[in-house]
Amino acid sequence: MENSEIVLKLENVSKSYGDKTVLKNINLSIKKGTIMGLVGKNGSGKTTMIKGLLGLLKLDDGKASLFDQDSWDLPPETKQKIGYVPQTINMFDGWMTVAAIIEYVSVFYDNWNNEKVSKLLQDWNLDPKSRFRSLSEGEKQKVAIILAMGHEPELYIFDEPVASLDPVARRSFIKELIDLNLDSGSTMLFSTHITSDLERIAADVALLKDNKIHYVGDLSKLKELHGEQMSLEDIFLEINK
Amino acid sequence: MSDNNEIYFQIHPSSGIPIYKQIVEQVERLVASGHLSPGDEIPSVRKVATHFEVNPMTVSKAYSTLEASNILERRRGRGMVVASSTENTKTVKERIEFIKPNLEEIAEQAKQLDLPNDKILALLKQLLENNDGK
Repeated sequence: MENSEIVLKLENVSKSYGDKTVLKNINLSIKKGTIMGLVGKNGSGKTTMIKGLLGLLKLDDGKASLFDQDSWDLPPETKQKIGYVPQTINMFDGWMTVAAIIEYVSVFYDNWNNEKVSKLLQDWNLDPKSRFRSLSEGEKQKVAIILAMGHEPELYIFDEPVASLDPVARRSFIKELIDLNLDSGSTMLFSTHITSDLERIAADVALLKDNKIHYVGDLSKLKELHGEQMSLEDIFLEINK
Repeated sequence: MSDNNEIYFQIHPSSGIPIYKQIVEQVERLVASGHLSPGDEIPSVRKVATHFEVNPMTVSKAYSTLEASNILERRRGRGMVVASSTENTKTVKERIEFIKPNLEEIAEQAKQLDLPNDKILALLKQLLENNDGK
């Protein structure tokens, strides 16, 4: 795969729910190996954008594509290349154990790295024998992250993956992402409100404001544009004043 | 300072100064002061990215910037090293130029905070002496 290859693309994408516009003419493309942060207030359209990208909802206008395939009609082999962590983790019946869920999910994939999954379970102090419903929100989120990593995808899409993680788990998650990016050149789109995490992990950011892209590109350039006293959080607050 | 296992700079991700620029400025200072000499190895992108938990591309960008300004060069099989063309014997005056913008900023802030000059100088002296003791 060429380094300059575009892995993810949105072209003139719009979406409304009834008369409420959620996305207005969004254009975005991400090259292989990029880690891009997606930042915006609640209701700015981050989750809708991610769902549109994954073909989980129908867009009103424009086109979303992953690996050059229309998101609405992704072939199974393209789906194998994607790891997704949704914002709300309620995809399993609570009585299933963590181990059973992992086994259930693993059969959908040609590649499944059991060794890696076991290591992550251990690193993140998760007992495979626990029932899903007995887990805390943070632990559920960890399970969802592990499930998204088991098949070693080329592209990761994270929708608020760290919201319920404690700082130790967040840092360990970030370290894992850096290793993945270094070892496999994985591409990542990462939405979060925790801007301090994005400042570490993302070299590029897309800022959503009023359902449009307010800024997309190099995080360093954004900081240079705003002067040296401002963190990403300060910039985010200023833009949304 | 030539030990590749040693990471001799600091990164503050939430600073307004972009991470790549923080690395560039610190390497420039270390080279200007002679703490890094021509041929000294610079810690690898992997090492810096995993040590500080920052995006590898950002570290790469810093190194490319330093390479473009002839401060670093790529050596086959050894990664990045301080360029042989770099003078490590910059004069005191030249080295002062590197630190001057930071001092100007401190002077400005001290004025805004209405802090007396002698207090600031005493604190700076104390910090410098602590450094010497290390």
